[in-house]
Amino acid sequence: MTKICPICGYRNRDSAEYCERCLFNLSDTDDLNPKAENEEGIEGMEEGLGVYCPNGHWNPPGAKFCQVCGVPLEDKDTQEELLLPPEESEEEEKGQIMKIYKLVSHDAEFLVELSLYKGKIKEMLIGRKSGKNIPDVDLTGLKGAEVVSRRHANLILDGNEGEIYVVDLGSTNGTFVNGEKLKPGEKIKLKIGDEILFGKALRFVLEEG
Amino acid sequence: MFDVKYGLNKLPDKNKKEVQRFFLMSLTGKKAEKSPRLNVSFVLDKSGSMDGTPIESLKSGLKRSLDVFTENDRISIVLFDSMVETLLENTRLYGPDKKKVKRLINNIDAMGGTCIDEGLEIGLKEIQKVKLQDYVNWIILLTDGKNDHGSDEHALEVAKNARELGISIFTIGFGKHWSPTLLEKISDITKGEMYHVQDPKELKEIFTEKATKIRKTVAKNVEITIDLYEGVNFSEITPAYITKPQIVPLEPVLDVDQFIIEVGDIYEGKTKDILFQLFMKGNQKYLFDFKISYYDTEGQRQEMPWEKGVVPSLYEDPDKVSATIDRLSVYLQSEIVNDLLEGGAPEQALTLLQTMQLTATKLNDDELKTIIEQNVTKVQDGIELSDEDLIKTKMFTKTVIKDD
Ligand SMILES: [Zn+2]
Ligand SMILES: [Zn+2]
Repeated sequence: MTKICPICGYRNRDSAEYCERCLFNLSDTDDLNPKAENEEGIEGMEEGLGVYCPNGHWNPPGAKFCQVCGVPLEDKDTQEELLLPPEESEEEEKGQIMKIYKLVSHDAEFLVELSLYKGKIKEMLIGRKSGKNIPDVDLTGLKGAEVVSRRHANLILDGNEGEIYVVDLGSTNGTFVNGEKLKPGEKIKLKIGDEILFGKALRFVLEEG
Repeated sequence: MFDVKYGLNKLPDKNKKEVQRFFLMSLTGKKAEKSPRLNVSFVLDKSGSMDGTPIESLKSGLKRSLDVFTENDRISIVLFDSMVETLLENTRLYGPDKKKVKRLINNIDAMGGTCIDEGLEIGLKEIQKVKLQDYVNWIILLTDGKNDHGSDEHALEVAKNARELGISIFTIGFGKHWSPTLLEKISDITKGEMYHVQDPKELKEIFTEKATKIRKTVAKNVEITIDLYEGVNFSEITPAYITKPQIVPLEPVLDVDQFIIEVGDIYEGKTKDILFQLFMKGNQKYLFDFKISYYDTEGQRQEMPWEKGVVPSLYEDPDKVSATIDRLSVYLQSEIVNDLLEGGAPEQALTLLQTMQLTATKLNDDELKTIIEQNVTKVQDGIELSDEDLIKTKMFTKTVIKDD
């Protein structure tokens, strides 16, 4: 169970006593309580108002950037689809494969296949395992993974355009594409042969599938 | 050079798998053995909006501050409006020179627009004309406006260059139309400090005050190296902040397997607090090893011995750590409020402001409480916050100890 901060909407890990992001004292929620809605989170959250960013953070309606990870939020049309957290939409049928890419570690020890399904946009979280939260691309245990954040970056597999994008999620040690450091929240289109560095030591190359 | 005190807000809890804890480290400057030599570059706004009392006060304040400088120090003066002019190149001031410089200052006229970044860049060039290692190096930047004729991005680049050279920037915003976001970023990047001058009269004192403060530097470019034990991690989203005298975000940088955190300078008799947000095992035995290094006032790199195997023990006054967390929460929430108001979500902003109001009450900080209350009222009434509101909110949420 995650503890959603009633103040900023951040999804905290179980152990958090204060919101990790805004330091709101989460134990205050029960007693000190300006409004009763605190238990369910910010007003509007349970009514399906607002938007979820590609990483599943709740944001108030009209927000242009995710308050938590800084990812730019799409305009209203695409927001409608994102109203449900991405976890729930994963159940959908996958459809027809359009294109396959491979992300291969520099020493070729680790490989992830990335399948783009026609007309579907899929987000894949890259990071390290923390407790029961396992990212889609789990780098835990690889050499150099100590400098990878738990929520390090997102791959966006765009089955409309047949493109792959990478977004840094404000990772501590950064994401680099061909040596260029991404700004937190910055979305970069990848092409075959691009070198992607997560943290400082984990090097990958994008290859054709 | 300084005393070090540290500890947690709360002990870990063996019955839990993982716990979140806050570690406060206080660095207090001891009595200085020898005062440092100063190398100060004044980068000053002489745009048209400074005309009248402000520019006259600035001139008399600047002249007055010359008395703080001895013939071992260096100063330079750069003026900017939409253009930049070097009024005084980096120089040593002998007694008779001071008269000449005062005459130069008398001739300053206010006119033109505002181009902060170009001014900063020239200031940075001037300050580097001496061997930086031999001095305590500061740029003192004053502006009363937004960077209308310049690029904020360029200003931040210059600030980053300054930081790499170990030069800090005091930013002083005068009046009620400057950008607290830009000045804050510039001072934060360089681990400097940020001030707000409301009354032109204060311009007469501010430079003397700042130069006197810098003179009390006992350690510059202090760095904490941290080697975490298995089981301990920094929060990735809010890992570390300077929490006294002002709140400044810190970025622990991983170098091989140690974190390095730059925390700026330490002054005689003044305390700098640094708060770390950590996650650790409930039965964590050791937190980390750490080492503090810095440059002394003679420019020599000094390393204090490693402090090995720091155990999870309480800070001598755990309530102070809780108050620090609360203080920081108000600052962080205030940032989110700005984003929400900008993103067009005043209702969510209001919820946050009301929480901040409660925290300020708990902290017993009347000024902070008053400004938050004002913001609550305005947001409730659908009134947009003015530049002045934003400046005041920034200053009151950021500044924990005034005159420190
Ligand atoms: Zn929060
Ligand atoms: Zn997000």
